[in-house]
Amino acid sequence: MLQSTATMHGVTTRWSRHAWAAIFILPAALIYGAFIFYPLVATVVWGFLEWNGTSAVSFAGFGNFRTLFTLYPFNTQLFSAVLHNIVFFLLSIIVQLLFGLILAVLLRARAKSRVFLQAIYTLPFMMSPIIVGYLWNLILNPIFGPVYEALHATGLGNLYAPWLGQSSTALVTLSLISSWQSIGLPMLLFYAALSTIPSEIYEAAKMDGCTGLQTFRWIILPLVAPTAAVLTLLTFVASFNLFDLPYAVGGVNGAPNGALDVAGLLFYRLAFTGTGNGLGVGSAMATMIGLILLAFTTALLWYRRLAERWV
Amino acid sequence: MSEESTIAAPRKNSRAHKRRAERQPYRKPGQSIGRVVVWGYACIALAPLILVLVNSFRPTADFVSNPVGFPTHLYLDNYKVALSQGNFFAIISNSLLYAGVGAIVATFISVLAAYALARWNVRGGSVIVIIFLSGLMIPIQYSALPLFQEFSKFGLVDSRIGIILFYAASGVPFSTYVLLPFCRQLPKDLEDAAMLDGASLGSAFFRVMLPLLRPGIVAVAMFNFMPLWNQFFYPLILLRSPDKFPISVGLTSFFGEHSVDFGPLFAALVVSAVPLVAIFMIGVRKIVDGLATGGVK
Repeated sequence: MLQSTATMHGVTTRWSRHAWAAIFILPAALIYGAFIFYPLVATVVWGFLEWNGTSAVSFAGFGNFRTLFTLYPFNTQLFSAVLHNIVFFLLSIIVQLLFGLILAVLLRARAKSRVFLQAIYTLPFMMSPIIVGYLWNLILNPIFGPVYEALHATGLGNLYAPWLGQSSTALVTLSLISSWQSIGLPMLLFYAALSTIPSEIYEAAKMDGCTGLQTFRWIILPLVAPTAAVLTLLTFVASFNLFDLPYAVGGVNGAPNGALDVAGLLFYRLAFTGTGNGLGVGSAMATMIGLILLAFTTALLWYRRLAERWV
Repeated sequence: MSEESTIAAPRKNSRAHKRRAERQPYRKPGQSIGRVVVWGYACIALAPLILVLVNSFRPTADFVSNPVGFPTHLYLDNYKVALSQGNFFAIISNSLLYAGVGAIVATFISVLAAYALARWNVRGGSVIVIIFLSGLMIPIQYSALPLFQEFSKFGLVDSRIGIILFYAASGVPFSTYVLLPFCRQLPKDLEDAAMLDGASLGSAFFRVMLPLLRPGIVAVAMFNFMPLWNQFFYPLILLRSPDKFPISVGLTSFFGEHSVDFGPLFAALVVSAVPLVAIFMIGVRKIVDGLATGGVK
């Protein structure tokens, strides 16, 4: 009796296990497959097709890629846009790693005010980049911008320039704004990494006569290196995803004078405002960006494995 | 405790002196610089937000002549203009609808999938997991072309259901990433016990396991909500009629129309920032801890 229930149980379980697994997994698989995974795969395929309007007419080989790299204005725009992404990434990662780490280290000594300060640093991170872009545009505005006024009032008026409005400084300013917004994340992640070792180790290092620099090199740095790698990866992906912030500041053409033109904006123009073979060239560009990200991710993971041995 | 300190202690006759002597040597100067830096940066983080808030209560003419200053009286016209012309009630409720329902659906379908994938040895399960998680690293906006064509084929362009479905899909990678390990660590005995009592796998999940997953589910839903609330690119291309815009797209059209009347722009920024700032303040501890422990997005 007991045995027969057990086998029956086993049989029903095996059947129902499959049925239940299907019921549980299919909703996510279908929705994700339809709206995220299919478009991803299709983008790669579409880049190799010749398009007439919205219908594919033939296989294009690398034709769309050739167009992207040789036909004016894509060729110059693509180069400068990707360059802007890379500059933006480099500036952001330097500022965020440096200041994120400094703030995290300093917060260790602030037992009482720590949570409050962390909340303040993280607050801008919660706001949409659109809001942040408009906000800084208003604040740095030369007509009534408070920054302009404050510099004038303190006699530093000639330091002021319309940083977001002139093409020589716009990109640097944009990356500083973005760092201002997202500094909370590196700060929190570094703080969490630093908290993983007990404070006795710092005390012990101090007693053994470690200087501040030595403590940094041999205790803090190895501890935060993996976090720094993760942050580098996240910032790289975010830099190539950049769209909202330059859109809010300089519109779809990356004003002033294309100084804020980044890959995201160029892709948008190619894909949704262009004419002709937009689907093909747009997809080719998307594929290229995907390859850049893939290469960087692979390189970083490879480097991290190397670094684990040395740091 | 070393020998030296026990010998040295009696030499310092007052207790207060001893305490100061212990604390002072290297910490004091470093600490005060540290204090200046952390509070100074707090000002840099907050000042722009406060400036916008303060200026939103001042007439345009007032802050054009004097950008840094306090409101002289309670001036609410900026808000009146913003709320009446910017249609902010409508676009905020749109955002709540899209991001709220999107986050709930994303979390619900992901917890089901993560549970089955983590515990039931599904054939091909690891492939599904890899495909789900690959969504974490891909720059999602670059696959907009096929998505847009798919949407127009199914009549989903400019549809609220379409944008919610897309939002739900975009939350799957992150949710699975967090919920998979969460589901794995649940005790197996509970599920077995429920099934010996005659429950099916499904009802064992809903009646016994789901309550155990609740803290994880709430956190995941919250972290799904925030990026969806801020989402700009996809509503920009997938929606057409202004009355369906979420806050981000609505804000850009408001800024486009009011580019010279600055007062209402400040008010509009405040109005659009308030909902998320409020959520942040309510859940600040959870959000900060969640971000720190790998709830990275």
